[in-house]
Amino acid sequence: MPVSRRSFLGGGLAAAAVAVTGTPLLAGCASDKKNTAAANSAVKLPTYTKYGEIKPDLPGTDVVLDGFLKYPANPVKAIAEAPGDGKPITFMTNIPGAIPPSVDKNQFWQELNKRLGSELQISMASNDEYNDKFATRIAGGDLPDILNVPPGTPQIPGLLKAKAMDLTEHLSGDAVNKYPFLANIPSLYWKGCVFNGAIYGVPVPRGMSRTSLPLYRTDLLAAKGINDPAPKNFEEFFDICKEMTAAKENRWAWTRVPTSYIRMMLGLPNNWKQEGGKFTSVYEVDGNEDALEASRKMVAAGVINPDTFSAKAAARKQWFNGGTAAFDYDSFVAWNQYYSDNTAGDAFGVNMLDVPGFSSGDGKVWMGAALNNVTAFNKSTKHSVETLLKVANWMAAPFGTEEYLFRKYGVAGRHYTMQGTDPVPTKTGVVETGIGLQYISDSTLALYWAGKPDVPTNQHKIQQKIADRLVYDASYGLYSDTMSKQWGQLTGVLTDLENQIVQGKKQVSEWAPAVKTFLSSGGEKIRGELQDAFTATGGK
Amino acid sequence: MSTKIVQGVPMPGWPMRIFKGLVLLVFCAVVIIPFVGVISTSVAPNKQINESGGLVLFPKSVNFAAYESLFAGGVVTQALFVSIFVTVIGTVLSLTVSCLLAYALARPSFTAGRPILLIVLFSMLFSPGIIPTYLTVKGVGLLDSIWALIVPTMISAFNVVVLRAFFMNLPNEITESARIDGAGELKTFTYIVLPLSKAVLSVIGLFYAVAYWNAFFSALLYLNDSKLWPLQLVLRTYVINDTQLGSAELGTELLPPQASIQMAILVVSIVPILIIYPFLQRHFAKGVLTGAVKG
Repeated sequence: MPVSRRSFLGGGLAAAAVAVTGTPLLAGCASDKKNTAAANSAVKLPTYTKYGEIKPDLPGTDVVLDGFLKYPANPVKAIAEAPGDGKPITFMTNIPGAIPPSVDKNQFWQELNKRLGSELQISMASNDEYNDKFATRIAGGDLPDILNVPPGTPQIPGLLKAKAMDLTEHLSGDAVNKYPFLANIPSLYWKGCVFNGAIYGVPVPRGMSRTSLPLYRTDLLAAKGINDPAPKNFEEFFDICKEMTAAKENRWAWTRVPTSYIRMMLGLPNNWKQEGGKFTSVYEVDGNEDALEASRKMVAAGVINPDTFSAKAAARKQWFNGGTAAFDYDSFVAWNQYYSDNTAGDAFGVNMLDVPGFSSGDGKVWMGAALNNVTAFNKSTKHSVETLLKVANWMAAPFGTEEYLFRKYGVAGRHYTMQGTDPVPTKTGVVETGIGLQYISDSTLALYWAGKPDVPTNQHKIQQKIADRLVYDASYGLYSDTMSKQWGQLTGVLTDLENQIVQGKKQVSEWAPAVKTFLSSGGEKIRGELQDAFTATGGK
Repeated sequence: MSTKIVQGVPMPGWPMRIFKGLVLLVFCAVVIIPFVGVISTSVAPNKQINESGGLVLFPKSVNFAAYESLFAGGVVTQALFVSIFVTVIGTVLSLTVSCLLAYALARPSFTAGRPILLIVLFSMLFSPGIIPTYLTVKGVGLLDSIWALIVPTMISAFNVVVLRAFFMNLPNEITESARIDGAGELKTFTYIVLPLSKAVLSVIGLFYAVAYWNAFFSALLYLNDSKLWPLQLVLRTYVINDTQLGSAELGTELLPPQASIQMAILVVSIVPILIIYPFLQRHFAKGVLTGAVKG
């Protein structure tokens, strides 16, 4: 593909330079006038057609996930022919775990290549290092056929326009029906793949599975005589926390300060809210001071593990698993992960707490981020767009299909053993299957835990309870250039201050001036850009 | 009671000696306890690690499951061989080219020495940045080659300056006498200069070896095939991938890094260098100081 000096500078290198240095490179040249909200909202999103061959035990809705008490006994073979074209396909991604064995020593990967009909060559990096690798490879003009693009990538429209395929004619409207498992991804998720008035990628959907609330150890609470806790306000919740704390015995209620949960009790917005075309960020609304004061009260009462301010997620997980803490604020994904890490024996149990209003009534629940990433296809690839879309379609085959069973669990005998109809991963399975396939494309997730039907039952129950109180981030699907470049830095300052306040090192009264600085340093500009984008879309 | 005198210095009384002993003991404990904690946690059962909040000093039982898990699948073992190859070959090549350059720059008769020295110093003060380096590595065809871990970092300007200073400090009489006996520059360098430079070569060799052993970023950028990744990059994926719990799949996510595995990784990654260190230690102070003071 011929790349002109201007498009090269305007697209890839600029984005990479921003990612690496935090400084926009040739910002004037890099602006992309065609990425208007009006053009984006005019794009007809792929038509959602739910795949009907799989019947869940606990049917979901448009937001509640389907639940399965056991893996279907006869998984559906959903795709007859191998999607590949016989030539190697390259893919670059982050991976969430330890590095898996390379293909010559990885039987899962070898079997995958056979089933795909093409050798899949994967260039990996850990979550923390992926941004560096991504930026450097983009700037070096050295891109794979399939690229995992993180949602926070700076100047994403220019980057995709310069480097990625426009998929609109293949996916827009009913065209997506050629790829039934991509059509099985609800339209909402495709909204995050639209830039420059076109569809530039395939979504890796998350949404509800990433919705976070307090997870609690049912066994630890039951030992204190607390069953099915349902506090009616903050004070009742605080009482439970005090009840679950015994600092002298190295036990605290919480792994971390649940400020987000308290914000939900107070009905604060999920990141950005929109009313009559006016955008307001979560940080500037009334109620933040109350949330900080309440958090501070919890820290002062000693119900939070005192090491929390220096601890990483792995440490918090240990406290929760080891019973050092009874509550952790996390998602449905983490809920399952706690079962996989369980060292406390059969009594171990986890459930999720609903959100009461701060004083009374019901609180709001923040819907999890819609996308894990957007998967883009290299404009200069030697493969046909149909081949790459067929691969993405294969990767999106949902729970209950044979393709899903292989993708997530591997080959029976080596990577998992059967317990009834449930696949239980072996150690080899856990190590060999972690090659990052879920970031090429994915179905919406299913509620399921092998051998423990009560886990999806409880998950489904709480999802049904909170479904009508979900609050969405109004900025999703609207592009703000300033937000793509400065959001992390701007919110980082406020998060630092928040930590200082809840520890009692700064006053709650210092919050308001900090929010003013946040707004004047970029917050107002972001608001303006979001409002313009919203107006241009006509509120779609 | 008379005060005991040892080598002309009066011995302090028992209370002071006990106090000093205690102070030393505390300092030793501060240094040793983290090591003990790392080793103990790496062999402690997971349940005890979880219950103790992540660090165990006295394991209730000893098991090597973390090490078994680390070496299972062959990823770490393979990475270990890559690291050993890169460290040994890289150090030998780096020492060779650094010594040749430094010796040339140390010779007063070398007319282009000063401008070349300035170029060397310039590279020490201004690094080229990630993207230009990547483009250069790509341009010379080293992407996805193990040599990308060695060639771009083969010469360290700092080490060249230390070596040059050391060579300049060698008495001219020795090299002149070699020349009178008919030795050329190469022979003088090989048979006279290098044998006299063992101390500085040991130290610079250690510098290079530690740098090659610890390097991970160049592998992250230049190597797509994880088969060629060195130990430090592989081990980092175990240690640092804990930014968020919600990053994996429902039901099938990889097991997260357990504290015992993380501690086993620390042991595996520091032991080789700890083994080499005592053998080079006696040269350490002498080598660096000799090179650094003269110039």
